[in-house]
Amino acid sequence: MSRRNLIQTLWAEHRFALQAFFRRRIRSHRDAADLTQEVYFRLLRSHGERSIENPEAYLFTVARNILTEHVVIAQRQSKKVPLTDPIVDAELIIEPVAESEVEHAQQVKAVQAAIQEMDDPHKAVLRMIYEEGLSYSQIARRLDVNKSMVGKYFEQAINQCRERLGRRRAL
Amino acid sequence: MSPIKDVQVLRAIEVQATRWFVRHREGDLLAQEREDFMSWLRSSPQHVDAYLALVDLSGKMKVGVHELNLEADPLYERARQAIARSRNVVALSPRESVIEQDVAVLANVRKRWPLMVASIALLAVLASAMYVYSAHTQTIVVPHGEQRSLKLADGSVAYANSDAQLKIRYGEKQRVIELKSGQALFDVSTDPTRPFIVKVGKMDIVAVGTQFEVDRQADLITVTVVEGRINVLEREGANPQTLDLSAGQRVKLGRHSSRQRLSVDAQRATAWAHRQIIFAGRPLGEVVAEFNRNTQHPIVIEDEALRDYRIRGIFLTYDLDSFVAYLEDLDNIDVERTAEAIHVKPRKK
Repeated sequence: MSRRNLIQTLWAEHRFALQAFFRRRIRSHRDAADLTQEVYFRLLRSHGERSIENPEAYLFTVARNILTEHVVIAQRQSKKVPLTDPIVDAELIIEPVAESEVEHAQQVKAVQAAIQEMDDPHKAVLRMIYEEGLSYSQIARRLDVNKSMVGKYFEQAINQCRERLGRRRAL
Repeated sequence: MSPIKDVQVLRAIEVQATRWFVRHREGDLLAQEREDFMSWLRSSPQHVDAYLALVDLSGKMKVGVHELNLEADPLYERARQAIARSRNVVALSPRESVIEQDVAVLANVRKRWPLMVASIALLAVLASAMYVYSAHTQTIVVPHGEQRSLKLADGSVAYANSDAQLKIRYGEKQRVIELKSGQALFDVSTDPTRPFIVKVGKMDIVAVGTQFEVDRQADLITVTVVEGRINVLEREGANPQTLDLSAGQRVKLGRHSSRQRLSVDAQRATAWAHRQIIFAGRPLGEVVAEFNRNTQHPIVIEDEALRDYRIRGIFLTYDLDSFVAYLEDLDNIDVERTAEAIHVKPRKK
């Protein structure tokens, strides 16, 4: 499997669990802080494992495992849902109670508005990354820029989206 | 996690996280970069938090892009044209390596002090334990392990650290604060008609509009100026001595100290007021002393040489657990917990 496919697979695998994790984050800051701290502790404990092949995937896996454990414990306490597949259950339980759909939709809208206001090169890079799954080299060829500029555009786009969300929160 | 955060530091962490996130999507990390990324994550729980938050943001961007339903070919054509046009106008600076940027970002935080002042004002608004003090005399004692943001009647703010004792007297001619013990950072509103005076022992520190910190520990008084200028007046004896201090300067005043002006990194020195402890290569002894201000369960360094060992990280002042876990992770340190304290010693080979 190529490196890029690997990332996309990991991405697809972790996306749901991670998003649930973050919606929960918004619902309860205390829980979220505890979960993040637990992720941190486990990263520290992993220090002995010298060569982590893909540190980002490793981080996602740790976060996902912690989320799962957290949900399993919550489940045992509430005893409402039978314990079958912990991952599936994690998604079932967290999804409906987490960050409200309204809140989530508002944030997506704000991000969308930020993207709408960007200039064409930034929009083009985002579309190529998210809709077509192109690599930076492929994007660089299609836009006739060097590869590092593609990264710069992506970085600037992320920062603009984050700023937009921050401004909304400050209001 | 507390809502009170140092906005500037937080933003710098977000910038670092974004660079790593973008770098990961570029292709294989070099062995050195993999190591740097892991040590970046391990140096602060807030780095972990910021990175995970980016995944969420990126997920929203994906949906956002999809819903905009951008028509590919015309967009790409316009983008190519725009890039070709800009190439003739602006030369874009070459991208530094992520590692260099990482360091640069930490450095930037320190350079951005003027902005910090604005963020401090914001923090003051956010602070939940905030009181407005009126013209009357009032004494404030900060309980052990806590901090207080005290909003004063003229808009000035005093950030008082664990165990600090302050007496506030605001009059028509002057604004007087007596620091009886502990550490406080003052963000002073400008009022030329009413000087702001901090009395510490036999000393008056006079400011008009500025930001400075006073730390009173036993008979040693340390004054650090973050912004603007202050005047230190020693009232002892027949000929009172005065000393001018400006931004980035510190003076230690005690029976045995030389009254020499020292240059310091004021932002780092006053990081406690922002509930963050930042250390980019500071001696372990200093960092531990800062954490110990906020805990009943102190860290004890068992080995003198270890005090000078330099470490790097960003933690919230009350998150001692994460800091201790970080110490345990270091190759040359052993940590032992007892009921009274956390003992830190060199690791036996």
